[in-house]
Amino acid sequence: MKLAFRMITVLTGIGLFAGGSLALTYNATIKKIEDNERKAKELAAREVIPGATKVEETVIDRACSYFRGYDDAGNLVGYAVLNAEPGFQGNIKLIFGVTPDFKHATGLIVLDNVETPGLGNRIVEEPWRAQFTGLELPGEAVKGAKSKDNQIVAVTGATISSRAVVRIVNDGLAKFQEALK
Amino acid sequence: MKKGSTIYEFFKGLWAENPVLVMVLGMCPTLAVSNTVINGFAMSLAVLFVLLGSNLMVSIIRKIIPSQVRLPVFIIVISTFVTIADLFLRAQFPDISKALGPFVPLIIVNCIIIARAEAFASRRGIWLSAVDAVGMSIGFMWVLVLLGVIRELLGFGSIAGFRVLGDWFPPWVVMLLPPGAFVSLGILVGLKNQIMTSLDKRKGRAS
Repeated sequence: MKLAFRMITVLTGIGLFAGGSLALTYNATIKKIEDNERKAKELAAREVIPGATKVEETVIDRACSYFRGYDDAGNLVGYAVLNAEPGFQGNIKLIFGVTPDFKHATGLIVLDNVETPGLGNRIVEEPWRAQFTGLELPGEAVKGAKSKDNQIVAVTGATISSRAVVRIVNDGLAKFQEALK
Repeated sequence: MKKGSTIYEFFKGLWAENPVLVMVLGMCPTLAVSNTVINGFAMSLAVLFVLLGSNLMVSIIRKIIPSQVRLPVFIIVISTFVTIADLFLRAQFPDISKALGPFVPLIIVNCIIIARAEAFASRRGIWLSAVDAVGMSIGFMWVLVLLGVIRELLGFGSIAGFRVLGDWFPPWVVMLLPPGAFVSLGILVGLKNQIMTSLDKRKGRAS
């Protein structure tokens, strides 16, 4: 009985102490953490909408949201869509810009990915991503050379990752247009 | 160097009882985040913080913990420090936190920490427990940074983000992938044993 009492007291004491110090740390850091995440997203959104200096986020669902981009005078200059879906090894999270008429992409940034280093994760590299600037939507990934305005050339040796990026862009665009209706 | 002296308890973690090369503990972060120097270094700093905190805490409360519940107590103490470290990294160093991914929260189940709590801090005083934690963490750190140097140099041609090998060098992608981690670690453990045996032989001959 005495032992049981001691075990319960010690565990409760430690638990209280742990809970208390975690609550303090959480309160001290959570604002900064949310700020960091929001800033990273907004920075990427401004980068993919040409001419945008201010962006406003609207959440569509857990994985997907869109941003309206405004210039200094307050005119709408374009949209950016954030979407995350499975790639080759895990979720790929990306953001891409869309013209106000939804017909062309204006840029792409891959925010998170766990694709194979040196092959699949070359989707984060500038020369490959640049294909999305001015791309006709919805897009399509092809091997070798492109023949239409809505095609991008897949990374050699990483066709699945490349197709996944295009699929995530197309799905994101569909969700975004649905949400705007 | 006598067992129980400050110097012994500090240096044993660096070489004779190195957590990675000798005890072969904490393999999960060792293999996973040693792909670049910065990642390995940041990871071992987080381990240093957690190990120091948990060793101190366990050593302080060692006399009041009934031995039947010592493991739950260790786990609560360790996970508290890990969560603090994780929140701190996410707030102050979001980029590093992103690169380390789930491996910071996974320090909770890192065998190095629980092994030191069970085998050392729950039996020794506060000072020696702190010394042990720092020694073990530095032992963990130099192996991770060395692995990071090897893998980053061969896999990216750079060290800590600075390109050192020119364009003539074709990067060995395999070094960044799990096989590269296993191969490099195996070679390091082998080298360590080789050095130990030849040191022992020399000592034997001298006496």
